[in-house]
Amino acid sequence: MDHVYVSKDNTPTSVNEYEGAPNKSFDGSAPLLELRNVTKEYIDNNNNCNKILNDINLIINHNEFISIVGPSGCGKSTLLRIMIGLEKYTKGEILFKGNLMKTDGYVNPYMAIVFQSFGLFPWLTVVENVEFGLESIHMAKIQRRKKSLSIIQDVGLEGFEDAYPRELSGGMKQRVGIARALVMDPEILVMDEPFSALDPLTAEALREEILKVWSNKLATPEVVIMVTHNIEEAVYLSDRVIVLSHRPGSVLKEVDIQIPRSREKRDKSIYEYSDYITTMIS
Amino acid sequence: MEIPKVNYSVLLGFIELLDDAGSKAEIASFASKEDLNLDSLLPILESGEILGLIKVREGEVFMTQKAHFFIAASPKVRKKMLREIIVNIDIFKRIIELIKQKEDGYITKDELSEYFANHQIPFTVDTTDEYSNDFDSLIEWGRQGLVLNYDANDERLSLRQTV
Ligand SMILES: Nc1ncnc2c1ncn2[C@@H]1O[C@H](COP(=O)(O)OP(=O)(O)OP(=O)(O)O)[C@@H](O)[C@H]1O
Ligand SMILES: [Mg+2]
Repeated sequence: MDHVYVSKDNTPTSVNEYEGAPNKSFDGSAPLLELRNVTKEYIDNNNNCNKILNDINLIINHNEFISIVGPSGCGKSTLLRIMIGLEKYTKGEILFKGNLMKTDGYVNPYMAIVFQSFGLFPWLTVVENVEFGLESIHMAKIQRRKKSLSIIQDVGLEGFEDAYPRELSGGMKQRVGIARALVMDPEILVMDEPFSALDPLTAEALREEILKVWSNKLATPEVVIMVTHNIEEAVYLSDRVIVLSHRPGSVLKEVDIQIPRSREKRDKSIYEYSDYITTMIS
Repeated sequence: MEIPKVNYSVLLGFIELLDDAGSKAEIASFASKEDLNLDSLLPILESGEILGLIKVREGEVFMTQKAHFFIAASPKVRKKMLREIIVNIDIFKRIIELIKQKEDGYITKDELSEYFANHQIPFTVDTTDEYSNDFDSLIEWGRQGLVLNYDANDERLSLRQTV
């Protein structure tokens, strides 16, 4: 397959050359997010040390759609949680726009996450669920409401402001999950298998909506990082697919998806990339 | 009276796929290619036809002009289009009239099912499956089209104020 481009080496050269200095992209600015040698271990009940992630090096540039794929249990969710600051790691460092991120339970305020299981509060209405995250931010109540209602419109939830989660179809529930993340104005939107709890047609619809949200250059987020089991979905949506190895997860390959946008789901090259990646994982 | 049975996201996903397939397809082969079983496809086709977004003829399914506009439109314009579609569907017309006649501006779920029973119009309100009863479908599309509000605590339907 001649058009599959695989980066030769995912280790950023400048790490080796100038220890501690942020990587520079072409225009001289630091990458949006950078992981250097991130390793995660935990001690289990029998006092054994278990490695989940091994020496992860990643550079996330501006305006990218990234997918992370890999075998079940290889640490994909853990990696996402580490990136955003929801989980500690054992070794390595994370830089956001060239600045070292604190590791002591500091959640990156420029990132927001969408979960597979929606994670909505059943006792709150749609607008209250969306608004919830804003309560930690210094913002007048009326402003919070205004902002939430505007995001609700953007993701096609208008009309459902006062509905409760139990009244919603899966597709509308995940729209709430997405709205709740977007209302925080994240520069990076992180999604952990966002479509895998949905029926195939609903997933289809939501993929298109996420692409619209991401490709709207006037609004955040400029980067999406998504974990998925669905390789074709990863190829269809992404600029780059990061393939992790079996546990402990390390970066096996980074595959640049060089299919011009807008793409067609039935494009032959989507299948070719998918086959290539599937073979690598299995 | 006809009510679209499937929810919005399912129908939208179907139309997106159809668009990708060149905006028309032979139903049986499309279903097998997309791994959709015919039982679940039928209510999708019906719902799409009620809304005027797709047409079925001689074993083929087509996107209408309206559907082309719809998937290209912004969320705001989509809602406008949906509203236009919903207010012109018979059952919604009836309900809008009913609510307009009420002094307090709402009708309860019980009153609504009583109304349909009195007029010998089949209308289901309780099933365990999601959106498989008429009442839930009505609320889904009434909300999608910015036509109806429903307060699940008081079980009251009212008209959404137009902006
Ligand atoms: N603190 C911890 N204590 C015990 N086990 C842990 C801990 N953190 C992670 N694990 C285990 O590490 C493994 C990797 O977890 P993770 O959920 O990140 O993988 P994943 O790639 O997202 O898996 P999946 O494909 O199933 O979503 C899992 O088996 C999980 O049970
Ligand atoms: Mg996971």
